[in-house]
Amino acid sequence: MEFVAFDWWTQFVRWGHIISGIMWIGHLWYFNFTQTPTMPKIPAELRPAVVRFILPEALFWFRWGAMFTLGFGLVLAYMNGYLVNAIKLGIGDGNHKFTAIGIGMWLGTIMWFNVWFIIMPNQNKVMGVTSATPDEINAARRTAGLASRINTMLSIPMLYGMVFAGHYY
Amino acid sequence: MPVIADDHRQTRICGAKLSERMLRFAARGRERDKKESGMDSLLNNLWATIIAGFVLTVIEILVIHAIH
Repeated sequence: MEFVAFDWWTQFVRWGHIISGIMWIGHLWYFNFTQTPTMPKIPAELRPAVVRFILPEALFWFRWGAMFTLGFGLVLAYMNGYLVNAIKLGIGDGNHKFTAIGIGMWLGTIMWFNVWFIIMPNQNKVMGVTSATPDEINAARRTAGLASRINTMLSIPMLYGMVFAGHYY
Repeated sequence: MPVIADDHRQTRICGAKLSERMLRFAARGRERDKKESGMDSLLNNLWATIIAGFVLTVIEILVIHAIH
């Protein structure tokens, strides 16, 4: 009987949100914890291999992971009926959970914006997808790196808000 | 016009010390421009970024409890 009442769609969307989120944050942490600190140690003649082959593939899963995480997350919040409460950060609702998940949602949205509108356009210049002068490429590399580091910093409170909303408050 | 030229020359000749000082001043300005901002240096250090993330988490917890 309980099995029949099991909410398949909510479970599917929640699972999609989690899997996409791991895909996104996993790549974000790969860039910041592994690739960026290792690049200066890689011999100059080998670096193009990273930029031409590994980076575009990693960025593909990274940006679409971000997109699906946001999409599934918004649908999940709507299906569970707390989308508006979370956007309002639970102010006036008297519920810790809405504030926690709301902060997580806002931080996640800022991070998603960084991915699609700051990191990707600048990485496209670095990878040569869009044309740019050497000075513009250097500036783009720095901007993309800083935005990526900001996302790494924000990922920590974002994950706290997401996970603890369901398990602590 | 000759007056301006003379003034300029005088500054360059008589102000040898002044010029050095000016050069040092200009160099200091350039060095300052090259220096990273606080945000840059924070984000260029991976461990500082992680610590900042945990500090933000503590602030987040305080905000959650402050709202309720």
